[in-house]
Amino acid sequence: MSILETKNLTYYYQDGESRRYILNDVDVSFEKGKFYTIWGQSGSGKTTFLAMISALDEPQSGQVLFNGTDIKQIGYENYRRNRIGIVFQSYNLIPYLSAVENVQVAMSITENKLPEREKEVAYNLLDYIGISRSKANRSVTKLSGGEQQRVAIARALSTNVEIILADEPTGNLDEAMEQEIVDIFKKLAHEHGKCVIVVTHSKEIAEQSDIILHLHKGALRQYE
Amino acid sequence: MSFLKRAWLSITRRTGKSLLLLLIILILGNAIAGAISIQQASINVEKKIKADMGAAATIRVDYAAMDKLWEEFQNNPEDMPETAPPTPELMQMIGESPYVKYFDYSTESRTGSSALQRFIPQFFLEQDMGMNDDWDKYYAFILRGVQYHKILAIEEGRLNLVGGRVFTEEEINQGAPVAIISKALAELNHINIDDTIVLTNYVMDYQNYNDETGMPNISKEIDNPVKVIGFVEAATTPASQNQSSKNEGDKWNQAWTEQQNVNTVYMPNGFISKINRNYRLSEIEANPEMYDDVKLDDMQFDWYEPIYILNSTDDIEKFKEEVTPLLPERYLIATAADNYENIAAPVEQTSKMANYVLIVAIVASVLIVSLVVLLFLRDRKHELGVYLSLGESKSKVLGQIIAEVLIIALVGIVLSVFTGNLIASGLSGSMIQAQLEKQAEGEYWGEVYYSSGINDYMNSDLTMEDVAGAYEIRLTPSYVLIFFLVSMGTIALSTLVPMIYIVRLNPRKILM
Repeated sequence: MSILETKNLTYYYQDGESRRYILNDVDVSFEKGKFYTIWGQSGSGKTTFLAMISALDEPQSGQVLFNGTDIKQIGYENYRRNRIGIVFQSYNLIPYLSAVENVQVAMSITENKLPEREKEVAYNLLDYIGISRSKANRSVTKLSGGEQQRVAIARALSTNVEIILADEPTGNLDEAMEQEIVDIFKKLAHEHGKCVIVVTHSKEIAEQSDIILHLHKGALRQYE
Repeated sequence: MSFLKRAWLSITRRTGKSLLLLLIILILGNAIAGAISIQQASINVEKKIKADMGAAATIRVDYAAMDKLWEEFQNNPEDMPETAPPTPELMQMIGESPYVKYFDYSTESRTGSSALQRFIPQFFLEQDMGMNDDWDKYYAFILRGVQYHKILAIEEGRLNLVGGRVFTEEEINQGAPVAIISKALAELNHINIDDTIVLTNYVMDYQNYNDETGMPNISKEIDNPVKVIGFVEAATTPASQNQSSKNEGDKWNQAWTEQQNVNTVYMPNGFISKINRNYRLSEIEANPEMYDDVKLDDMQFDWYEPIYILNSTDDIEKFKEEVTPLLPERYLIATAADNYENIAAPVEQTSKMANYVLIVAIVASVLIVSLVVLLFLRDRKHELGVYLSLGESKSKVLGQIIAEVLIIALVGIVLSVFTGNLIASGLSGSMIQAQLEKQAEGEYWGEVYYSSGINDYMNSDLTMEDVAGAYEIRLTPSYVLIFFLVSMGTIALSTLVPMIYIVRLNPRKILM
């Protein structure tokens, strides 16, 4: 059963009298335990699609359904707080906090039930993602790009959500690091049953996903 | 990690920016604190000086209304309505107001004396300021009428009865020829209680002048013998006389007051009224051509001035409000405190300047703090976007930023309470001193109120130096409270624009 789906999702830019469609009646569904990639060329609308399903932007028409409920009904803030985790290309960590504190921020915002001893949970999560306790206590500005992205992934996971959305998560990383991050996403989908949706322009990454969705001229189709 | 903890971590870990904001708030806070300190000190001076001036009130002509009337009827003065002075009955009625503690009304006269030597202060003798000429001798003594038999000045503690007694009600009602004089005048003339002194009216013949002196000839001398029943002396030496006043105007004022006080003879209103009538009739007789169109029946021989001592200076406005409708046209209630502006000009000017500084500082603070916080927020827009992408409500993001600004502001404001007070103390002290020196040069002499008589209550022995002495910048609870309210209000206002910025943030545009 799909955990997330879109119905007639439409997004366009009004240009005088004409409309330039970025997403045109997109119907797609996502399931738990699978690693999806949204693949397409630059400017194809991948990030716009991700913004719609992460409730960072609103479509002109159509719906995004979480477990069959329109996320508008759930409330965008509520949906972001309790239902999804987002990983950005440029990590977007809070620079004056340590790695563990960055994770704690997300844990303090969500209303999902989390284990007690929050900080210990954050340390464990970071350790699982590959950030040692000593690094976890460092300011994030003193971590490498790969390490910062791991912290961002840990932050997305820390709220105990079922959907992880990532926008070009390896865009700023070298190849070795890129593979490590992709492996983490695979693990999250296959071992922890998360629904992982990654936006990428990289064919290599897309080929490692369970399902590739190709976005072209406003249409999203499964890529065979 | 609550938004408050995030705010705290942001302040403590972004120390450079926190310190910069603190420094800005500290500087602006000092300007605001200094201005409020000066204002508070000025308010305290006003309260203290007005309290020292006393809660005295009188009825006097409204000069502005008279000027207006003159202007209106300058082409046809014969049509100008008469301005009738208040009657003793009205003065009595007003004296029964619940705001009045004591009251008296007094007529006044001036006489000379062939037997008595008048008192001239050393200052005038040294200055040879024309106080010793013949003309002055004819009017050397001030006869002050009394209706309140216990004598208001004694009841008010301005005078001490140092010998003899006060009047009886009977003496007042009958207008008996009895007098109370100053001890200094008694000593100067070797007068004892129950001695009779003679006060003389010199009736001038204004048609014939003495070629040598240039004065009118004396056509008649009217001797008024009175029995001395008591001696008084000033209860306290004015504070200003204890200081070595540098101000020539103040010295002159003090000497003048002393001369008036020592040469004043207190007598029942009724007796002074008789003296005035006799003198005026003799003067008409001696100068018939000057009074040929005057009807004796229409003549007024006495003018009375009332003085009301109110229960408290706080009652002044209420008393004015109650009594003003009863007054004749073009008369008003004047109070001792009305003169405050004259002697407290330096403080008033400093206070006015502090008002401008306060307004400018508040406006500058709102602009500068708004811009600085806004610039800091632009630097942190990714951080704010992250909070929003994590589902944090905008109200909590706003809360974090407000908390950060307020915590830093609070530290700056607490420091400013002390430093601003210190700066204001030094700065305003020297500003007032400079103003005093300017006044000492004589620029403001004309504003000092030198009148005598019953207006002693309306005048004050307070000098500009007393005002400067009363000016004190202190850390009072009201200063601290007002400063906190004003500065925190200013900071709250300064966060408005940054708040709008946050409300308008779009996390997608920032993060993707």
